Amino acid sequence: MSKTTIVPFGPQHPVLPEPIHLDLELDDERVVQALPSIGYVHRGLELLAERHNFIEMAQVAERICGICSFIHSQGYCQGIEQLLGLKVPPRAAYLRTMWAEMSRIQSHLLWLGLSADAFGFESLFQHSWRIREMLVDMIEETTGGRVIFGTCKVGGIRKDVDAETLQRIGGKIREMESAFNEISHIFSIDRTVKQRTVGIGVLTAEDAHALGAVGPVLRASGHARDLRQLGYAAYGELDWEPIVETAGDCYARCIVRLREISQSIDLIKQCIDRMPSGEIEVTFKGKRPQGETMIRLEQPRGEVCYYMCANGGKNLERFRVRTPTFANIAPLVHMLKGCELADVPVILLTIDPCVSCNER
Amino acid sequence: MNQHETFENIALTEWVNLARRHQAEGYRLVQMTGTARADYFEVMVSFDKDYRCANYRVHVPRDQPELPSLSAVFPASFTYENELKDLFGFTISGLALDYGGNFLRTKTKIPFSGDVTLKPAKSKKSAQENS
Repeated sequence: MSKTTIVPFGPQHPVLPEPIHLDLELDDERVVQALPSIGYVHRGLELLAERHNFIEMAQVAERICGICSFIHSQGYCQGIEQLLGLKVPPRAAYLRTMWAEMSRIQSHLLWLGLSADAFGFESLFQHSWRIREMLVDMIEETTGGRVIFGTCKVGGIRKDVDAETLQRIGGKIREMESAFNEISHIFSIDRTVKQRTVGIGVLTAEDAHALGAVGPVLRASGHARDLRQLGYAAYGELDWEPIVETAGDCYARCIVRLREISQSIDLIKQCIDRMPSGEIEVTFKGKRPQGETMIRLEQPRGEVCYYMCANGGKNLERFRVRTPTFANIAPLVHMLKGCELADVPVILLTIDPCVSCNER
Repeated sequence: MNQHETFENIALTEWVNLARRHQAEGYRLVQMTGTARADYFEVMVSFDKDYRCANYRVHVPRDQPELPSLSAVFPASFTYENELKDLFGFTISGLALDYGGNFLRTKTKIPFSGDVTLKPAKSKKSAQENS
């Protein structure tokens, strides 16, 4: 008769930069069930929105996460703009799009490095992060920050980028693209990567839909769903299509992220080429948000939802963030069922968990 | 920006039927969240199809925080329902995967129940004096 063993995985683990815990119920080396638990570093940022001025809260929203920081402030500002009935100027919308895509690239490169490290492919890890550094330098050059951009504000953006800098960024992004293409090729064809990822942690298209998967996890299972298709910011004016793979395994999720980096590079180039001139913000002096809205954006990890409810006061009445990592916990639990213990770190990493977002 | 969204209040008795109807029409579950109001708990569920987001709210009495689970209709709901259970003290009937209050690790049991009074943090000085 087989006997199950409980193996704790996390909150501190070599593949986890942030604390999340899984109780793995094992039958020999096979996972029978995975029981997740979160809440180690909860910060109560949603409650802060009920106590702070809605304009100041854009700064707090940006600090929900240090990787997709800009997109959090963008989502928050879009929500408030919706409640105020504001339309940001085209130049602000294009610059927001450019910075959001820079966030996506740096997040995916961070993830590629971490997964290469988890596969035991140290040199690939170092190259991924070397290329990421090139991108982070571009973020610093255009915003002044490397982690927190601080450029998004209600009504537009805080800082413009002059034509000369944009041209320089255009040249640098091309340099970065050629460096990235080299490692992208290795990720796609390398035997070590394939051995650890092909056929592992398969999520079928039906399961991905039923379990509410989002982002690259969903698109790697054959669903062409990407919230950027809503056309917010400047996405409605740019040429792009959602990246889709169909295998649904760890390798497919890896390939989706690689292709999304190339796509983001292309979107940044399009933003630079088509950058409109004009104002970067609209004023709304004296106006206060009223009503409720559910704003959804595509973060590097997938769909993020911001529910905002306001009653005309200076604070929001309710602010709720549903992060993509939370949505991907249900698919993760499903994928871990029946896998080998040695594959748990790889499967966990391929949902690209962001605990910081989750513990907002 | 082109965010299509609707908000609607529904009766608690419609909760599961509404989910079944949406599931049959090809919607997916986007999120579920709770809010502690003065006299009741408010639970909101969001469904999405073709980028259209339909949001529904139910009011649940504070003295009887019970909600039927949607996990038989939308398997994705079990994480949100465990969250409602751990944060607001809901009893969720028919929950497919019940983590028994161990999903969210909270210092205070059921922190959003509305009956919790937070103690003021000790200042450094008084903490040093006590040690």
